[in-house]
Amino acid sequence: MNHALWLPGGRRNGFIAATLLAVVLLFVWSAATGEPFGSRSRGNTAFLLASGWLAVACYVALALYAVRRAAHRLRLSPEFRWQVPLTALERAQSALAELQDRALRQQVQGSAAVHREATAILRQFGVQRVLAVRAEPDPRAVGLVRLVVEKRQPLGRLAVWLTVHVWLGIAAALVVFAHGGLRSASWLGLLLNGFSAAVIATGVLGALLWTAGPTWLTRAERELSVEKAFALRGHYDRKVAAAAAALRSASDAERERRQRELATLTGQRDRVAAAWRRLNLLRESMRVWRLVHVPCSIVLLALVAVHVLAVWYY
Amino acid sequence: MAHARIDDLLATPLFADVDAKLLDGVRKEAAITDGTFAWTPGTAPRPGFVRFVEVEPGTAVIAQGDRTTELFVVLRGRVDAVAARARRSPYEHRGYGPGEWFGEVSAHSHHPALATFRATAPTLLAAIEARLFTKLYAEDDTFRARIDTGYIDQLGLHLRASPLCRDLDDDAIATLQRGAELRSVEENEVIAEAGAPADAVFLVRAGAVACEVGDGPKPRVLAFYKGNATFGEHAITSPGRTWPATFRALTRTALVVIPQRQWAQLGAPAQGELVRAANRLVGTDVVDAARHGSAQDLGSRSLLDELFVMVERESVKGGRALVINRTKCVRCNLCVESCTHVHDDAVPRLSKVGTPVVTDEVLVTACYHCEVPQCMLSCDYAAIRRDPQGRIRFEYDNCVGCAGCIDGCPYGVIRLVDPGTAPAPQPASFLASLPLIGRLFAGRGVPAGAPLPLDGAEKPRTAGAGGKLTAVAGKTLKCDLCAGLPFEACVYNCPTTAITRREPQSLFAPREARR
Repeated sequence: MNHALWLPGGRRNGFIAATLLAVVLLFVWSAATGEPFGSRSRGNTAFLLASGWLAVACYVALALYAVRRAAHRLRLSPEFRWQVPLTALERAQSALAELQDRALRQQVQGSAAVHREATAILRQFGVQRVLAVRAEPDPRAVGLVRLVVEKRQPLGRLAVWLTVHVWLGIAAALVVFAHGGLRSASWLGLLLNGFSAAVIATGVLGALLWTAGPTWLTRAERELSVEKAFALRGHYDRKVAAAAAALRSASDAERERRQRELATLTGQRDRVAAAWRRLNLLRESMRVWRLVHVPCSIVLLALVAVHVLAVWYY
Repeated sequence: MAHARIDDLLATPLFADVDAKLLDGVRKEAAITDGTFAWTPGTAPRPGFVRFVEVEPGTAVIAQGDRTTELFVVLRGRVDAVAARARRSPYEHRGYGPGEWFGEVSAHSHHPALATFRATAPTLLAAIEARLFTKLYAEDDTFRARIDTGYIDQLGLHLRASPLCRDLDDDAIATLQRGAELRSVEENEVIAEAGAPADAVFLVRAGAVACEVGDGPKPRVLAFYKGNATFGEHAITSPGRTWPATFRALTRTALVVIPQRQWAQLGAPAQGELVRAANRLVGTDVVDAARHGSAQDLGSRSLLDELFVMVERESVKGGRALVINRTKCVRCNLCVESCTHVHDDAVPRLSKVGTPVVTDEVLVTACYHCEVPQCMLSCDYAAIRRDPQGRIRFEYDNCVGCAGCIDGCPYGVIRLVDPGTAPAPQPASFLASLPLIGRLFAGRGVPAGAPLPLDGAEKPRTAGAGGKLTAVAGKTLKCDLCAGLPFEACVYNCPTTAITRREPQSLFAPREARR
């Protein structure tokens, strides 16, 4: 199971915990007012405004995941502008290698000193936006420090964004429920609730499929991968067609043997085709939910914008 | 007619006092070409190794970068040599009149031609094929001495093509040329011993050199140097240093030695250029990984030791391994798409097809940075080097897309794209960035797994920064770790952390534990 989808680690844990705490506080607030979810009474206005703006904030944050993907695809992300010449990078790496060598000889001692020198090297060669360094204890000997040089990954890995996206989506569902209470007194409310439900349901389904699907598919593929099954299916199709043609032109003496051969090949083809269908179903299941999730999300964002404007004016 | 021509050829100064038996051999080859040689019955005829070529004025006998292997002797007329240079005006080398010869560098080492040789008058040339040339060169001291003397006279042309000297001006090249010496070494002969004072730079004229560290029967090979490659540049960047490794000839090798006293005579601007070029080369050279510059440094626990822990593993030859955990991979193909997006030519370097190493983990088809890099051995243009991190990198300035490395790579991780038909980057359209439907608006990018375009059409001729004007057959591609960018696109954009860079030790730990 891909538990990494749910556990981002690092500072993001704090962000997710804060968001969920805000949702819990919202529910506590609602319970304290004694109003049912979605009540439009004058006494509930503050709660409606607070939960509404929190929901909008969640939606905007959720959309940032898609923006990050699109920006990278278009090379609009700022990190593309931080590219450094290869020669500078290599010279910095050469100097870092020398520092590592000195650290191994204990000519530079202590993680802090090694880190300080490494950071100075990155600045000297102007590659501090590209590379990140950390000094950690070397497991090979007590007292040795090992210098780890990595790409900086300034915006964080997309996987982290996805985890935040999943948890914010769950939080947004709860906030929207607290805000609207599934009221559908108007067409807009009906649409908002309907699309919210579609987005949340497909999102949760997608998250679950992405958690378990790869394991299922990998287990199913241990004997035959989907690519091999696809190729084998085509192979057996051709063999069956050739065997059928041979049967049609076979003499009476050969007919029985040809029929057995055709039956065997047809059976093998059907088994491979069934395996391919099963594997492909598993693979497509990890994609198909997005066909609903993404368009519904776009429409939902548009409806939220209309809703905010409508509340603002009326 | 043919007899007259062969007599003219053998009357040139190049063949004066050459052994009579060898001259008979030259006559025989001319007769074979002429069709007048009487083959023994049952012997399959073959083409002759001497031919005569009549060339009209303005015709290029050899184009720069061509893989010719013939020595040309001018019998009549005149040929001028001009070398194209990147970002500079062409270098007019010299003219060749009757009795003079050219092409010995290519005939000797099969190195691509260093200049374009063009007839300026109705010209008659004798072309001597490399096999006959090699026989004459190896067996006749007089012939060899003349060829070597001629080579030294024209060394400037070779130096201008080397990555170390290509930015130097004509005066500086002439200064280096004056003090350069030729040196021939036999197979396995040590050229420079680790720990000895480094006071010269070597240019490989023909043959191959291995750079080794460590004692014992199986020293560690760090790099190979073949035609047009230089080694010992750190003697320029840090005077007073010792050789950090042992350099040994892999085969009979001809070298040009440029002693330290020679570059000390250069003016300050030329010295600056030379140091800059040497720094650039040293910066990508594993030999310079240990700055202190002694064999003990390289042999002790260091970055190189880590490198060799990695390369001695079965599958991972060096560097950190790119691994896909299939139990996390949702088969979204975003890793390949991201790889496409960060490269200007919109061709992905990543292929997800790979070797299963442990259960459910796949070592993807990215460069293994081999211990003995066959690609580097296969490259005749000194376009592949190993950097201090142990990674194998292309020097695109020198690469002409000859595809030699592709044939050499045992893992098939290097590919060739046609520079003439390579797809343009995808247009920065907002519509193209939309999820799911974006591909409907996408440009001419290459979809993942699509065959790379490579046809047999004539390729554009381009001057490389190395000064080679050559038929660029394509551009070689392999994973470049998103060079210069602060991320590795495939790892950075995987939504489920399925693809990661891992230490090979961690990759193989479960296997070792089971033993």
